[in-house]
Amino acid sequence: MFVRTKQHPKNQVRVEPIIMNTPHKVLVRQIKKFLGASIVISPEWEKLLEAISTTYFNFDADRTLTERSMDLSSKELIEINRGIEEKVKTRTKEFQQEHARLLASVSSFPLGLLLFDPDNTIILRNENVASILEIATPYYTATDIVLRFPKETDITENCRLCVTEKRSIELKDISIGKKFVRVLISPIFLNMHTKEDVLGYTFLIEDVTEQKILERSKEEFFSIASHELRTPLTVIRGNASILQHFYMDKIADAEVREMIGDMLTSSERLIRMVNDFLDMSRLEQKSSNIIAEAFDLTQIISEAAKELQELAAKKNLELRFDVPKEALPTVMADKDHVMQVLINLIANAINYTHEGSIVISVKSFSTFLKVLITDTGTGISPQNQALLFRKFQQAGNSRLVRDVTGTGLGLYISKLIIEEMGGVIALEESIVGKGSTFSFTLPLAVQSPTI
Amino acid sequence: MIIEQRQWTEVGGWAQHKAVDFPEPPQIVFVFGASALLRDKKYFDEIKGMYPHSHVLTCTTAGEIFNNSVFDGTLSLAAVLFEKTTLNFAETDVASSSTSYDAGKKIAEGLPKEGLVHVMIFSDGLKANGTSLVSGLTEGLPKTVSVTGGLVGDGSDFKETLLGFDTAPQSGKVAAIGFYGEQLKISYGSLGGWDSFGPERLITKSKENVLFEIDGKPALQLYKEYLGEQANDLPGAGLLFPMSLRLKNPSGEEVEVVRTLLGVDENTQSVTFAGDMPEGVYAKLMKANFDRLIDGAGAAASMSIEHLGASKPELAILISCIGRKLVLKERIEEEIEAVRSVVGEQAAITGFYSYGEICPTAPTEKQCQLHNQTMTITTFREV
Repeated sequence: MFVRTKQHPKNQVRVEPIIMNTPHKVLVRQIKKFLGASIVISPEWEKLLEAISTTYFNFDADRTLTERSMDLSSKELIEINRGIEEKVKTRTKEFQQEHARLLASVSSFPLGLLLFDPDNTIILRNENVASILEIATPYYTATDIVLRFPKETDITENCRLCVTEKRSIELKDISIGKKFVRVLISPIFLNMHTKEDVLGYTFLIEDVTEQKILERSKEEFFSIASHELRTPLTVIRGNASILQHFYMDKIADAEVREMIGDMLTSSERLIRMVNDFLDMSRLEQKSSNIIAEAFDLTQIISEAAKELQELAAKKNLELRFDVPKEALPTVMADKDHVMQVLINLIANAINYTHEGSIVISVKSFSTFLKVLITDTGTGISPQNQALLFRKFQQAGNSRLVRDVTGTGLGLYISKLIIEEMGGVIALEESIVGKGSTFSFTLPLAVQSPTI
Repeated sequence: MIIEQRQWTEVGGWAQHKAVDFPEPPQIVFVFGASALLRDKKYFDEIKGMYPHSHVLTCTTAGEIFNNSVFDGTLSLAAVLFEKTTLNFAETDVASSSTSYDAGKKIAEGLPKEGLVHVMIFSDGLKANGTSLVSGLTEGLPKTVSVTGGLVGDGSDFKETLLGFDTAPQSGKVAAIGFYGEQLKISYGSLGGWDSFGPERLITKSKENVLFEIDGKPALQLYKEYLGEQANDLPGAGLLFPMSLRLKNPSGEEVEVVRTLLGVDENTQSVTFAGDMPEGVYAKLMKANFDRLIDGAGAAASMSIEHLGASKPELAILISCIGRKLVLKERIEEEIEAVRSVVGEQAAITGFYSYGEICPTAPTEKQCQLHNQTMTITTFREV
């Protein structure tokens, strides 16, 4: 039998798993098996066997430690996994609740709301979408949405632009069946500040039919009312005019004569107002018949100047048209309406000038002509300049903004006319006490090919 | 370069590896030995007697490397005469973890910078915080100077690590050798070979290199759980499970560093490591992979000769982690053999098993780091 006689070497590392008092079982078995039950061993062999035995023990210790650590760490991992699963469950529930809340708030919106991912798949929708767009199936897709819109709106392209160019797109007054809708497409970014990573886009649909009807009926009311007013007004003015012209000598009472005069001026003013209203509503509804034709602007300006010469002379003012030396190219515009604007601007200038002159000039540009009306009048203060060209300005609290028609619509109508013809009307310059320059442009009939 | 190697063993006393004639006295004598021996001044006196005109650096170890073998309870001596190289030395005291940074700075100040190419630093392995020591040292040195070295050891006892420069070794010392001149080629390499396993754990309470809580639980408890019966052999047994930390380096990249366990404290249930264990960092336990450890040593050797070009190293100083020795046990010499097969037969191999290795991460880098659980090799050749 193998017997140990010596102690383990003392300089062995302390963490050696087992201090060897007995040799390893496997070694004992192996010796028995291969060398017999009882043998005599030399001290050298004993040392070797001891080293082998230590190796066996070390191997066992390593294995035990490895198995133990693997066991423990797999248990830990299972534990962690369980924890994660729990967390996922809680989070999922939280997420579902959040989603439900979000959906509820989105559904209570008076607007139709859709959330698309960049591949045009609907991520979120509220009920209003189907009702606004009159889609029967609740499981509609992006294609169903697109099909509801008129072709020329090109919803697909606009959605694409919103994502690729990272900007919001608003589409107004799209008619769908009997409805009018407004659409707002906005990109969604992962980071709103850096505008990186487009996650998709929101698609808002608003039913503006009611608003549209209201607006239209307001406009219609204006135009009908104006029409209806004109007839009785014309009768009043006609009669007042006849009274003044043919029956004045028969009226002895000076007071009554004055009253008839007032009736005439007032009815004339009312007619002008009604005409302005009609003009305005026609222009706003784009139903005024502006017919563009090529014509010589200098001729029209000369006519307008001639017409107002008398008015200027009454106030001892010079009204002059600086006719350009070289012949001007023709403009493309509506003659009568240009005349209307010219009369309005020149009459205004005369009205607000007490001494000096009103000078009309024309400048030529490559694609347009610019008409300038310069006076030496009272001028307009900067704060009032901002109010020019707005609707009913003169009717406001301060009667500061010039308007000869007395309706406060003169400049506003002029603006509508010029813009309708593709031009721009503006106050070029105005200095209080020195005078003002108004201008408007008109496009050339033949555009210069060099531009 | 002329090198004489000697070994002292209990059985045979001093034995010379190869007879060497020194034309002049060697500048430096490296002595790596068991703390049980070096604590006895007798051995230092003996060595000083053998090399009266040489500087003697003595370091206690967790195992001595002498040529191709690993020993315990011996002295491994290498007396080196650098024929074309100048050496300068610096030493200081390091009392605690908190003074380690200053100690590193002091060492750097103590070395003339003109012509300095490399520094080898040896430090007390228990009182010093290796991370702070290294950062103090590298801060004080020009960026072109490379640094290698190690924290000296004390078997697997973790009681007292001793170091002496021209005196009998004492506790709480740091010493460094500065190498000067263009004719010395130095290269280095360092590699581990451990696998992390199990779940990631968050360091929830720590102070410098002392880890109190991990995942909100006492750190010592985790080690005891994993070691089972072997928990009685703590702190030594703790070396079987180093920790891998996911740290951010100064340039913000995430790097994995390994930390070796140095000591435990039952009162505070804390564990002390050979480097910082910052709070909020994720750590994983590591486990040895035998083949990878041995391959790692060979690969470190390949790294360490990369810079020498075609020439072969004359001297290789191996500083390997005690953790590797405790794991590889009887197979420990295989890692030395792996190094030998790379550096060649001509090289003198000396070194020791340490409580922390100091080396830049790659041979092309200069700025060193504290490593744990690696084989770190510094090779020398004069041209």
